[in-house]
Amino acid sequence: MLIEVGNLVKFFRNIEALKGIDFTMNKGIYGLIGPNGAGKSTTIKILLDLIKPSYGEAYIFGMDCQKDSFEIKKRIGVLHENSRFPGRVIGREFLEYVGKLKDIDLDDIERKAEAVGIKNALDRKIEEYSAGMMQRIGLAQSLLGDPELVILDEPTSNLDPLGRMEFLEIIKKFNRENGTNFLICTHILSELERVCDSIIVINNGKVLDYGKIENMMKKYCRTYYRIKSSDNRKIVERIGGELKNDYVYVYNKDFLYNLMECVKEGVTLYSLEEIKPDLEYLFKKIIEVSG
Amino acid sequence: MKEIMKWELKNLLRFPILEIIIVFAVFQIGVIGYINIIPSGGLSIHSFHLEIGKVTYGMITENLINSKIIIYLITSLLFTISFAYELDTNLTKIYMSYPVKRRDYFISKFAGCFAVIFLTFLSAGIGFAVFIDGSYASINIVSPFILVYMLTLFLLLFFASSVATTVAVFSKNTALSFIGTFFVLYIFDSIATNIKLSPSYFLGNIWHQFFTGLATCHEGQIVYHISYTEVIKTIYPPLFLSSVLFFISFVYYTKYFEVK
Repeated sequence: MLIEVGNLVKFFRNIEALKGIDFTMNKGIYGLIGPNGAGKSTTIKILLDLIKPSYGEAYIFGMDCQKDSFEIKKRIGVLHENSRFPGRVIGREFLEYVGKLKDIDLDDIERKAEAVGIKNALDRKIEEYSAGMMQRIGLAQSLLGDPELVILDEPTSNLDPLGRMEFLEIIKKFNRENGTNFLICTHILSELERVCDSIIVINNGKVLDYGKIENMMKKYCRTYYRIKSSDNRKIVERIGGELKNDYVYVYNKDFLYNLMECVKEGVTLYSLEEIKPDLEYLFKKIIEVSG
Repeated sequence: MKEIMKWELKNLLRFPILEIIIVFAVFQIGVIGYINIIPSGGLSIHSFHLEIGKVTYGMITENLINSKIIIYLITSLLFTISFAYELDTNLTKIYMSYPVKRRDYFISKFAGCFAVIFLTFLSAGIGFAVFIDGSYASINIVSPFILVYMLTLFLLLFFASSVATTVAVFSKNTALSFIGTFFVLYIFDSIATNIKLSPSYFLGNIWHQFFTGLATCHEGQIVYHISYTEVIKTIYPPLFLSSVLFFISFVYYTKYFEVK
């Protein structure tokens, strides 16, 4: 088990930001998802010993996040949301400093810079970097020394669509080739779907559910069908489902025979689609179910 | 800790921070009067040189104490950049996510800022002593006058640094830290002067004790009469006050400080 969090509560003055967070993270790529203000960044800050919990426990690699944070940080990499690295420093100089703190072989800087596509900009001042390059150097510093776990907080928030795709590909590659585990904290769910095996859903300071995405899909969602025809009302009368925006939505599989009957009776079938729910749909469902 | 310290110093010495401090230091130490006390009669040539050196350093030290506002201003600026500005720009969050002990991080920041200001003002002081009259300025690192100048500078700077650190870590805001530190130092100094508790009052005592204190001439040699008790009585109030503030900010930063 990489991360174990138990009954984590955090008050900021009178506001209860975390109301008893519980989850475990095993190997793989995990997404910590939730709307803005759900408590994602607060949870991460507690894991990194940047803030203290009011109550509860948090462990990474079986070590206490408050007492053993120095040892934990040697084995993890972090990229914070909207990270602004020291602007007047040259990229290579900054990565060397991080490398020395992590006590790693400095040759790794070249390798990681190449892997994230920033090698040619290493000898420039960080203040001259574009937003995309800034995120790349952020990813490079988090991957230095091949950490067992990398925590990324809103890693793609400053990137254009192409940059996001490349960024996610790098994450997948490191997980596949080096076995690096990732905890990605974001509210952009469409991206996560492409890289994560598991998710932790957090809302209003509580974990609503967590686990493998496919298991969660089975638990909360089902595949449904969308039909468009020349007589949608007749289709609804025969096979059930509901009519919405010129489409008939059917939530069970046993409609095919009745649909064919309708076609024989002269209804023209324009389209029949099988819709698999996406992560956004799953997220909405979990929120709905949890009230 | 060595790496953090090197990194802090590297950042502090980047253009134009060091240049600004040098300009202030030269301005402050340089605005000194003429040597108007020339010792006479009955002194050996060694004692004559010693006395000239004493007057030179005495004036530089007095000038340091009298124009302490510049030290307050520089200290506010540097400690604000080092503590509060890094917090405001999220750099502290980034640095503290690396394997760094809070204790080492705090001490490196404090010592880095302190060393930069201390060494600049020390160099400026010694530089001016040489400039005034190199042959009489007793340029020797163990010269008692250099040591007293260093002690005065250390106490003044330690007090200002402790206040600056405390304000910076508790305010967590760049503007508030800079303005707050300067005004706390200035107001504290002004109020405390009236009740004889200000750093400048005690630093004035140091100057008085060491540079205008009792000295007699015996067989051509100057003999200074300053007892250890007088020295301790003179330096302990600012040292105690500064140490308490340093301890409070250190404990707060290492145990309770939250990087939001």
